[in-house]
Amino acid sequence: MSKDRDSSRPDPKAPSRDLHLVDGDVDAESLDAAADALRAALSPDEIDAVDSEAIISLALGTEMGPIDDGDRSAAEALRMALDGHGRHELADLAASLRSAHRLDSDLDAIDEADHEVLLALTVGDAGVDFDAEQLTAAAALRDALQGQGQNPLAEIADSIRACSDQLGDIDELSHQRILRRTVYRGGSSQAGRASGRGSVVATIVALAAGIALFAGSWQWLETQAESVAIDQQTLQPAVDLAVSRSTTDLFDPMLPFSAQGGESDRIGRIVSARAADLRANRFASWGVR
Amino acid sequence: MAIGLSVGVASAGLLASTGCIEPEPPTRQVDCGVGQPVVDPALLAFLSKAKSAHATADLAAEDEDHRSAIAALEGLVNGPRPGGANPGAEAREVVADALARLADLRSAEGEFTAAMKDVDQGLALAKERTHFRGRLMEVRGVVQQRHHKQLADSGQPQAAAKAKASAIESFQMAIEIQDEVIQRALDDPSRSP
Repeated sequence: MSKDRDSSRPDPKAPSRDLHLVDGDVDAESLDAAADALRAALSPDEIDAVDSEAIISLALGTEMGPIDDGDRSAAEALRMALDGHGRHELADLAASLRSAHRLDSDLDAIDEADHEVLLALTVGDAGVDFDAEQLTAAAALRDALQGQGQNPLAEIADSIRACSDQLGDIDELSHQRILRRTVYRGGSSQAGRASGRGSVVATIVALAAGIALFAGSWQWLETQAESVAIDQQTLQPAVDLAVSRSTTDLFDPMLPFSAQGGESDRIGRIVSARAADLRANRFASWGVR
Repeated sequence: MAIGLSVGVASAGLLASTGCIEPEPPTRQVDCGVGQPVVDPALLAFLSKAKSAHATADLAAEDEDHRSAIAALEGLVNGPRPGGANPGAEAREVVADALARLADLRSAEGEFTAAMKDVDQGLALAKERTHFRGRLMEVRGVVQQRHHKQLADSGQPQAAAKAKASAIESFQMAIEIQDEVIQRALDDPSRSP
């Protein structure tokens, strides 16, 4: 599965290039192997039986086990879907990940503030405090994305960007729902039960999901003027979701803002409130209240 | 410091602006969100960026490094925002608040024309009579007050007097908005103890 990528494998004696944002126990070589699996998922012609097994596990949120005839049929259905024939849940995931391609032209725009956004989206929440190691890892990722140095996640992002010809017509919350379900069902919450490779792949997908979410969100911001984005944004939600609205109810009307200072406190309060709204929206979009 | 030779030109531009304060728009209901876009990751990404920009400005301000603080906030107000040309309520208020801070910082550096532009942009975003608009009015008064002092110190008494009158008017408008917000709260039965 990794036959063509030995030259890019990390030196085991070199400092770790892992991103310890999801699972700090994953070694770089395992990440590299998992990257191959994901890369294969995005390149249907290269899917073999083992990769198909991993893909099914990710798509269905199940642990990997012996492949039976049903799995083989599912793998074939997935391969066909990824190849543009028929539909499959993971085909949507792949399409979502492919959207990260559009980050390509924006890489130079990643500054320190964007950097924190990337981190926040990668771990699935805003307003998270990051330690020095996480910040260093994220800086390494950013550099790798800009072509300086190597990082397993950057390799994934590169492969994702390479698959740019297809972009799923998928709204932001559905995008998240697919990615999150994949991540949470196969990710750290089941790490103790999952097979080693399964958890590694889930970890990679969690990180890749973060990249895709970041890329999707950022691209969305960059393309606000485009009618497609506006149409997606203004669609009436099928379920009762928290909507964009004034933040004035977060502040005591009896206390006017100070003419100087207080901005960070205000934005902190706004971020906290809307992060809670977003979490509620995610659950609501999954049919959970 | 960007005071120097630009003061004369800046003064002319500022007075053109401060001499014509548009009347406040009629009171509008604060939007209640009906029919608005949903809270989504793009909005959170923008808000998170705003938080980082203000934190960066805080750190710069600790060192009296106004230029770095301004640069951090410029990245926010000039960058992409959810809704693009028609941002949602949160984005409008957050950008308006950042513009008010920018105006304060720029006027402290003597950049009065740019500061007034920031205020005007902020007022165009924060149209509802809320504390966000009230703060922008107050900052406008601060900018004009600083300009008044600069003009007086540089021997331009007539221009200084005009800037002073504009500052007083801005502060008065800020007080009116704040009073209105407080009165609305007092009239709101849901806030009764």
